[in-house]
Amino acid sequence: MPADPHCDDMSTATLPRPAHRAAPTPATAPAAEAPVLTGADIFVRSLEAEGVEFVFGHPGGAIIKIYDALAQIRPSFRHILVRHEQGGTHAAEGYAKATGNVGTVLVTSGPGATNTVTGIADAMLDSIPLVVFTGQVAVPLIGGDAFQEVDTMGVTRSVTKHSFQVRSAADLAPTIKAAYHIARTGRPGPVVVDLPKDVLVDEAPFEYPEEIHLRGYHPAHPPRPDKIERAARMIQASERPLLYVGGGTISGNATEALTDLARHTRIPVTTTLHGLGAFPEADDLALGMLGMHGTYWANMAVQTCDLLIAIGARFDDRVTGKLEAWAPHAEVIHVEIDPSCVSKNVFADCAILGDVGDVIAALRPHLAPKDTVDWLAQIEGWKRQVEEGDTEPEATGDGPLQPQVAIRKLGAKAGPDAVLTTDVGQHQMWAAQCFGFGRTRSHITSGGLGTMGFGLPAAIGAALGLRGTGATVVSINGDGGFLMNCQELGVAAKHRLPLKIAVINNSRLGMVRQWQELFFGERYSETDTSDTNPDFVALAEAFGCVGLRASTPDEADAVIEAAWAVTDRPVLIEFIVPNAEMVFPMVPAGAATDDMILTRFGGDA
Amino acid sequence: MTPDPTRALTAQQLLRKRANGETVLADAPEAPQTHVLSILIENHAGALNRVVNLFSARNLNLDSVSVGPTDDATVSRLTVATTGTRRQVRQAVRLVRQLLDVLALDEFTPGDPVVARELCLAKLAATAADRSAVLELTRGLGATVVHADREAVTVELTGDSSEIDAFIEVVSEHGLLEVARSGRLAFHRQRHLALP
Repeated sequence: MPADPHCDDMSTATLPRPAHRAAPTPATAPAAEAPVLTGADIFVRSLEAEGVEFVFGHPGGAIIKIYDALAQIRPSFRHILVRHEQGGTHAAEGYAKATGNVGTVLVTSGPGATNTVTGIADAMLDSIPLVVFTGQVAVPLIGGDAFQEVDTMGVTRSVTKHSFQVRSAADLAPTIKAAYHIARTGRPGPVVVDLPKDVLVDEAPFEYPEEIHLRGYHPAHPPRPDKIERAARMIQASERPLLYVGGGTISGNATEALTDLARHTRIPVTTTLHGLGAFPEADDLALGMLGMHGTYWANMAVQTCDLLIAIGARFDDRVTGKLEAWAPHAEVIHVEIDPSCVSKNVFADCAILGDVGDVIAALRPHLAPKDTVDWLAQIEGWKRQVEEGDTEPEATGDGPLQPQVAIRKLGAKAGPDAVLTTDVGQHQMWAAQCFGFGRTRSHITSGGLGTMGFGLPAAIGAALGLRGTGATVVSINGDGGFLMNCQELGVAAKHRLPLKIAVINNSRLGMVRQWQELFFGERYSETDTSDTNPDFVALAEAFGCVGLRASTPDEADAVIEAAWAVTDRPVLIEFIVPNAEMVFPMVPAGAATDDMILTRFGGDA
Repeated sequence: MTPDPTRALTAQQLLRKRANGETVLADAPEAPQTHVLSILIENHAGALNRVVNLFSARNLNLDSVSVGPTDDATVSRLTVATTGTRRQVRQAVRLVRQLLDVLALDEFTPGDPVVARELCLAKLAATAADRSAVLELTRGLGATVVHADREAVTVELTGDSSEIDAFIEVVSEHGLLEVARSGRLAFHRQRHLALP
């Protein structure tokens, strides 16, 4: 309190000046002999030092200096010129999901930055490690409505794991180091690094730091031994245990450990949409996907189990449906890296914080094989109950082609080593149900945000990341979402990526149409795309891809054979399918999980 | 959708409700309460934004925020009052802790031994005719005069939030021109919040 309260003069008071920068501090300062480089050169050298393989980018005024540096330096990474910044972010996501590395995006200021927002939000919800570099107007111009200025830090704040604005060339290298560290560790996620134009022109000594100190960031939680013991006791005491496996198992590289754990203990496994591929679907312990469009027996197992072991999963509403009625008899063990996901939706009786792989490794020695014969037989009973009533759609002949048939044929041709990317909608659910996922990181989709337009660019990123491995990359899309980023076909063609791109064309925004049929009195409001769809075959040819079409099961066999014979460019196959087909089973949004719709006409669980 | 009262909850469902601090009676929902979070954050532009943004993005109430530097020039102290059920507040705490700019956090639940203070400035219309009456009233309420001129008197009052509420209620009947509140500052009586 000042001595004289009447004389508070705010203008002359010496207030502590908050440092207007948030640069991370390197563990050691650059050595005296470090070369002095421009910010743009430091950027390129830092990405090289970080081991970046691909940069998905689009140039513009604010980052022209970096593109100039790329032309002169000829860096060790490859720049992939995408045709829309959103496509760039999804390609980086596809690359990250397929390889486990951090995806890198480089865009200019203003619209370049705002176009990445959907991809950043997608990566945030699906925990995909991305670093997105956005151009920015020069520091003195910030805040003055300069050309192509947008408050990127503000716009992206709630959809990033963290973000930085670099305020001096000397801060560039440590900030880039920190960005990759944050994106990769803990629960992975997107990090935005905003690069004002003058920072790229200014010079500073360059040395890429070995280590970075971030005092507010603590991603690692070694699993607590008492929690491990408690979980082990709960598992041993349970009679009807169920493993509920999510995408964290895959991003934590723990799928083999999980498979071993399940087989050792004889506990059945159900996976989320992002968990597909974490456990071999051919195994007799595999129940397939759970949730809104999960299998009947997986959802019945959830409703009946007495112990639910959630591993790297976050109890999403598309999994749980009506929370209060979900897994009503189950105690819950939750293995999770992100403390803010524990007991967020469903109370965890035993939460084990930590890396999924570490936790499984710690848990394994405490567990003995369990006798789950009766429990597995009960689940098998539910499975038989449904399968007996099922009529398989025609897989041969010249009748109409059902979408599930087309997807099964693609899955069979692609084989267990293939990687599938999907878009969002009915085809995404049919692919999850029918394609068959043979290995980890083989299923790449937009689950949390549900971003239409994700499938094609993600396939490009995945195919680049998997080049030389021999893995076929298949992309299944609907006619609605495919058009949202179809401009990236040219990128796939340029890089001669042998993608197999399927467009399941029902001339409808099919998932919305399905809800309209089921829940909105068959009022099909604005879901007919037949009069705005292009000729997809001609579209593919226009971009230098091969275009094929099939509308019967026999034609589908023929075009799939033809597509796999092409190895030097992308192939687009348009499958013409009936427009009223629906995805079943279905738990209506907000309903209890055992309240499933199994077929269109009255089938009742 | 209202829960069906005839459907009995399983033992596990009851346990979850209790663990979440929810009442098990469908017709007696839990009353939200005001909790105070005391947070040490990095003292740089953007850190405050991140914390405040999180509350709106996650649909959590923000009753008051006060922020200022500490004895360590690189650290600011942020005091946030938030109203919610135990479950909501617990989730807010977890999310705030996750932010990279957050260095330390303590949560004061209602009933905790806490010292809480808020500063209020109030400007009251006061001319020569009624100045002495206004001064007498505000002094009687424990406020200190910090400025006076021909038209108005500005007074300050420090106290806990309910005292400030009562003060404003009384003076609002006496030509209150404007009022400013600092938001609450709070310390736990026994625990000390420090950098880890």
